[in-house]
Amino acid sequence: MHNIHDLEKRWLNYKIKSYLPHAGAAITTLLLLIYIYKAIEAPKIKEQKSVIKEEKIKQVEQVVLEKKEPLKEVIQIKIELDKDNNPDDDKVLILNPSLDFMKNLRISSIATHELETEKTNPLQTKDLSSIEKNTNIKDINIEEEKIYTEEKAPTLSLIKQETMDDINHVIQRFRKNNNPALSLFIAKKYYKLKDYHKAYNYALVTNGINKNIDESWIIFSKSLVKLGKKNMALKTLTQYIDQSNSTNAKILFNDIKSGKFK
Amino acid sequence: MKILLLILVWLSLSANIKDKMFNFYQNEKYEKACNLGYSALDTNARDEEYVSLYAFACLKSDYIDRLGMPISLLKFAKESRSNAAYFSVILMQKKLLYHALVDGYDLSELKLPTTNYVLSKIFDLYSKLGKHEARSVYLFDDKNNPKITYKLYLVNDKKLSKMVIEEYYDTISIQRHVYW
Repeated sequence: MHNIHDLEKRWLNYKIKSYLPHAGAAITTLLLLIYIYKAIEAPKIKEQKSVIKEEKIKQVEQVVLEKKEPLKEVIQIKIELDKDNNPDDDKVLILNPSLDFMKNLRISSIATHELETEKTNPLQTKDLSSIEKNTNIKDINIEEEKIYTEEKAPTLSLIKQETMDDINHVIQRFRKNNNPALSLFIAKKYYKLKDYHKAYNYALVTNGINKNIDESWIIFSKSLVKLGKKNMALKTLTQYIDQSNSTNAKILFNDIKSGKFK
Repeated sequence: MKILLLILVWLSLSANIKDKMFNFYQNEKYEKACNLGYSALDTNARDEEYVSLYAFACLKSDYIDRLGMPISLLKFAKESRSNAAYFSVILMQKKLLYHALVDGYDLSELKLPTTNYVLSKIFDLYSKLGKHEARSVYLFDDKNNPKITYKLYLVNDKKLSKMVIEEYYDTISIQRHVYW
């Protein structure tokens, strides 16, 4: 009797042993292939990884830099604030008045000249205030208004004489101390007396001594207009407005240009 | 019809007051302009031109306390708001300077905006002095023009002290302002 079970076991062992070299060779080849593949691909992955890393580093650096930049700004702002807090620094906010609304103000009636009779001696009425008609900046002294409208009255000619004496007295004082306040006073007086040549001259002298007196430039320009030199007055005012940004000068400029002031 | 007529009369009267005030202002009669404006301020409170003109007239005539109403009324136009800020700075500086002179309040720590008005100039010059012993008279030189000087002092009345600012040009007195 044949032992079938034993034979089958021996046959299976034989078969397994016969396949083992093939299986070993196949596994070895596979391992080799994997190794070779890895050997080839590894540098590329490393490169890619390094590139990605570099990109990430760059991105991080950029983020860091971006984060650093506001810090710099903050520091700069702080420095500026520190500068502002410095008591020696003269940078202070300056508020300026706006008188543009006056351009809109229209005077319907002719300016009243306020010829109020003073209860006191008329010779003592040395009011220097000017009267402007219909937004025209036309200074007319109350005394002089009386003089020119009522020249026949003997008392008023005395006032004129008194005014001229005043001017002469002030001129003498001006020659002594060269004070622009006095020359401006003289210019205004002559303007009110309609002596525009002298008013122009004294305003010019005043501007020469102190070029920052608003009124002096106004009298200067108004005298020029009265002397028929409108373009020169406009040119002078333009230069003065550029320099000083004076509202009064702007108003006068517009009035001269529009023909309101002649 | 009657209502329309009344409205027309009222409009012409208010316009007349504004014209009169403007005339006074142009004639450099600032005090008259200020007083006239004050008399009809209630009826013209919404007219910003009127209120502005009134405020500038009062400022020029040294009625600084009357700027309180224009400061609160000027708010509708940009120019009005700008002028309201300008007036409020002057009013505040006047009050602070007066407080400092009478009570010795220290202004050196304050940093306020300034204006071209004489009170602001004096305020800036005074606050730069820092803490100091009270003086009877303060003399200041103008920043921009060395020939212009200012004198600041208190005049003690029976009830109230008054703050006086005198402007000089080459030792010649140009203007005197009294505030309280």
